[in-house]
Amino acid sequence: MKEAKLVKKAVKGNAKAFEELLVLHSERLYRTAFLYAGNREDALDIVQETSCKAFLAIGQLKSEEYFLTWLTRILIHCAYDVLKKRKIEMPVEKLVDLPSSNDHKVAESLDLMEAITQLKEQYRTAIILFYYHDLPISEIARTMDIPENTVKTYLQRGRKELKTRLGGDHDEKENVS
Amino acid sequence: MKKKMFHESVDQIEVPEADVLKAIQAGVRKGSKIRAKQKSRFKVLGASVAAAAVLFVASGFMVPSVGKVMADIPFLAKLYEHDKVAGNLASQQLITELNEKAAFDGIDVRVTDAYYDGAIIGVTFDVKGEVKGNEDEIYAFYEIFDRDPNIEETMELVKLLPIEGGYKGHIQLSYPRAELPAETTLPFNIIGIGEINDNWKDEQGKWNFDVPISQLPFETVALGQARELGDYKITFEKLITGKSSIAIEYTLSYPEGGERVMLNLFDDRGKRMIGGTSDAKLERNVENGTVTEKRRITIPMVPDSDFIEVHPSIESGEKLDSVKIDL
Repeated sequence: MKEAKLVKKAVKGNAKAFEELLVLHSERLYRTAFLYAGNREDALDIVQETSCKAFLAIGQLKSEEYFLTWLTRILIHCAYDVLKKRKIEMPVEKLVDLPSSNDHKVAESLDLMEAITQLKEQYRTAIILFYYHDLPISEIARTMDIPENTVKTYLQRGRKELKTRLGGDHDEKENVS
Repeated sequence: MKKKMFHESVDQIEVPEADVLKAIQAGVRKGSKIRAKQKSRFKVLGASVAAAAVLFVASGFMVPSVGKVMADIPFLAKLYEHDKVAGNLASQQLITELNEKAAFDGIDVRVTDAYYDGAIIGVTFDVKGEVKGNEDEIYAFYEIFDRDPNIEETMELVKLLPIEGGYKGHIQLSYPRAELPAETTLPFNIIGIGEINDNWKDEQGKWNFDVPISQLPFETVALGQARELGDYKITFEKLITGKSSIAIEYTLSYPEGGERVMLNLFDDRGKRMIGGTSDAKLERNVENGTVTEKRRITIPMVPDSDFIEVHPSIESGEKLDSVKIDL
């Protein structure tokens, strides 16, 4: 309820309401950015750029109920921009900066995170939106502006790549249709 | 892979809360500064009325014989999803078939049909030939009216839909000039076709068309309803009712450097009308510190409502009295 009110105010140009909205979603914004960037500094850059671009475009948000989808789409584009810049400046492996750990479970998670940061952009987006944002296929299609069948293909290919990188331990199927 | 496991993994990403907050605040600050600069150019931009002369939709449509319509239902449904005007006019056989061609660098473009309803124009084109790139990521970048600097938005991207042997594209736009000629041509130039390329905006049109359009029958009603608040004045001049769309023309005057005026539209059930509505500046004059703008709102459908209630307000929150426009 509170969020819907904030979105309404933000659409009308209220900067404070807009900031509050982003703070509400800050953990998810940062973690999603991190899944693209693989390091803290770039993830924060993505969050900052997303906040700026979204603030400038909020007046054009047509359906308030799609605020989060809309914001996520902006974040993904900002992440792609940062990755593009980085490709020119430095190879990816040198920038992925996940902490190391001896704990088996934590180490396994970190492997997964690292494998995700190495996926092709579109597979990565489909995987993040499906597994982390829990979006249905139709919503992922809307966010990525691609047909639903393409989303399914990206998910299948993304999972296959992850499986290869992780050595086959993470293969349990999750129904995507 | 299980979602639960994925969530658990992602939750291990430590969130530097203070830094994230700083990043958000810095982003909003940067946005506010950019917006302040833009505001000095003063743009009327409502929450539900986007100030853009060009609306684009990621689809296309066509007007084949009835038998073919039946055969193509899934495709047509997809194409009509974003352009209700086109869907509606097509069912009434009110879209003009065309056959205008242009070729460049191994790619042929053919404008196949167009409509001009009230103040809204739609154009569909086919693309065939050596289009490079992933077929789900093919766009056309185009300009209208030869980038006339007096028009607010003249360049836009449109996503193309793969069809057998090529692609189909469809654009919808609001006529961006004050006079609505009954018969005219739309200067429509395609600059680039393929995966999005940053250089397109610096290039010239390669597939150039003057698309002949003729306006469908419409009705005009003079409104003459004005509302004032201090130095702000808005006068609703006329209502144009087309076959499948409506337009409201109004004049707005405000002090130079003043605040934005926002318009919200509601139907007879008090429901806010959103989606696809455009509000474009047609003319602007400045005299003795007062700006006068002629503007036009286009609504790409005929609303199922007896009237439209327009609620104007100034960005600071002050409201002008609402205006009821009978449909």
